[in-house]
Amino acid sequence: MQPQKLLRTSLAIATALAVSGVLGPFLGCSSSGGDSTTGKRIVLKARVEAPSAASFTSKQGWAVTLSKAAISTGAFYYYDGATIFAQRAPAHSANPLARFFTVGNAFAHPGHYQAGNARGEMLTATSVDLVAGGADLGVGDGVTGTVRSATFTFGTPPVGPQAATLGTHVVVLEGKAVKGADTRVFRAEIDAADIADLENRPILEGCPFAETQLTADGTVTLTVNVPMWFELVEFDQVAASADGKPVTMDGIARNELVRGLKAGDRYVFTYTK
Amino acid sequence: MKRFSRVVAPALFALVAACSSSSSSSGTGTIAFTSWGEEYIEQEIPPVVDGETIIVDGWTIKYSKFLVVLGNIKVQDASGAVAAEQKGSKLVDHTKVGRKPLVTFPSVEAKAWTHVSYEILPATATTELAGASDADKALMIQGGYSVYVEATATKGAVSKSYKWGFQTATLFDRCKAANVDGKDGVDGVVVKNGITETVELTIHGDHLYYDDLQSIDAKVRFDNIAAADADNDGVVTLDELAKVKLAAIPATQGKYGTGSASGISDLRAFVTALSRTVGHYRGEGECFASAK
Repeated sequence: MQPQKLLRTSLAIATALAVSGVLGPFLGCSSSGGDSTTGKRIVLKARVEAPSAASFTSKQGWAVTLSKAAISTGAFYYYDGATIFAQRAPAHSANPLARFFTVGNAFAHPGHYQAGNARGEMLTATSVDLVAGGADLGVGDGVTGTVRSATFTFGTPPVGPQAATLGTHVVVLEGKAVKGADTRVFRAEIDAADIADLENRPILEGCPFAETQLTADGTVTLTVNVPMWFELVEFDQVAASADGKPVTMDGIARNELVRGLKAGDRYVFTYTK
Repeated sequence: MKRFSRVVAPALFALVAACSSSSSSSGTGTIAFTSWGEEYIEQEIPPVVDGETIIVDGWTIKYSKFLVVLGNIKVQDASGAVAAEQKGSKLVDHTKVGRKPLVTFPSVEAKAWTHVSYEILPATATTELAGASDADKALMIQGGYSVYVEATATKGAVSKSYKWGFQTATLFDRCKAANVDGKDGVDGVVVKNGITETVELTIHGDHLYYDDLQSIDAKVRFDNIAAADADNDGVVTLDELAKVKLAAIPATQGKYGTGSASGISDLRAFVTALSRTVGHYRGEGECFASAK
């Protein structure tokens, strides 16, 4: 049967609180059952890495070289709920106040993501060129305890060093793809609307956070798997360039790229002290 | 033999009664697990019910067979102490009307058993029958299926039939009853002294047609599945679904988000993933589903 409206509403409220930053003051309220290390406030820097972004061979057999991979990033949120079809279940908070102000009561259907208790956030929006290597994104905060998943937000409108490159888009890619005698010089412009979820939010919920205990101040690193963005892309569906200038992707190839960008497993979070 | 089969055999049916304490002042009760496919499987899934849209693109879906292998039911408390455990499985045809008994655990200590789990798993030679036939069992074993459906979808003068088998093995863990009237649902089951508590493992027949694996705002739709009938013979096969790229489906026809699930790029893979989501708990209650 369909999810209950009441439950959906509670998730929407909790998510809205989280996105608006209201969640922050309540992060310390949570105490998940059996997790005695939960609850101490910590500082969590955020960083992005994208190994292999500049050059890789796609699953479709195209040798791809990127000259630009600009992405607009927004807030990150960290949770103790497992990703869909993962093995671990989230712990339940015993604190009624914490339960209200966390996203632990989503009651989605089996197989659907349940965020569980909030463990941290980083609210600074910026933009980076993943081809240029890693970059620090900002400083957030959290509480000690288990993390298993995260929400990645595309920042809109873009701000930061790549704002001019991005314009109104949240991702801009440029590069060349070669397969045998075929060469495609391409540009892809992806908008917030392309990657929006069913509630029209430019966010990716349920991204994997390598399960660990947040125990002290540290760094959360987002590793973006750029080659997997291109997992499905059939470059032979992109027109060959007549003048050497990039051809803007559209049609099925662009749709395949968008699906790659929207897949949560391309955004893996890890924590180091 | 009949008496034996009804009384003794169920007790022997992979039942491991292991109450966490041998004596208790709170007494004991019985947990009877059943399974039901609701009206959606027994009757049909209509496009609209009481003014609420169920299938967004107007199809009506009627099952003629909805086979599910349910088993390895386990009842534990928060500490992990096992009250009862079924080691085995039953094949249920949910198109047969009514709740089908799965297993009964007598003499369970009266208290809250907060950790209940079960599996939907491929049939084996030892799988018992509950509303299903020997032929059904043979089909399930031959295909290695855990879930198998036969159905017909209709919209206006158009009709599409399909026979799909899925080999997925899924653990439904930490099951919890749904919230009712704002009250938090019960984790697991509460056993009361001298009482038989019936726990229904509910099968949701509409989940095979959701257009998102992760979002709670997923819609039930069938147009894309119907359109997969490439040879237009009125039969939609899994092979035909495999030829439909999710990237080729216009966003207005469903976004088919996959969350962080990997390797799902066509309709067959998508529907197969959805087959992991049909299991529920006591109606609308939830469990955490994970691949076995």
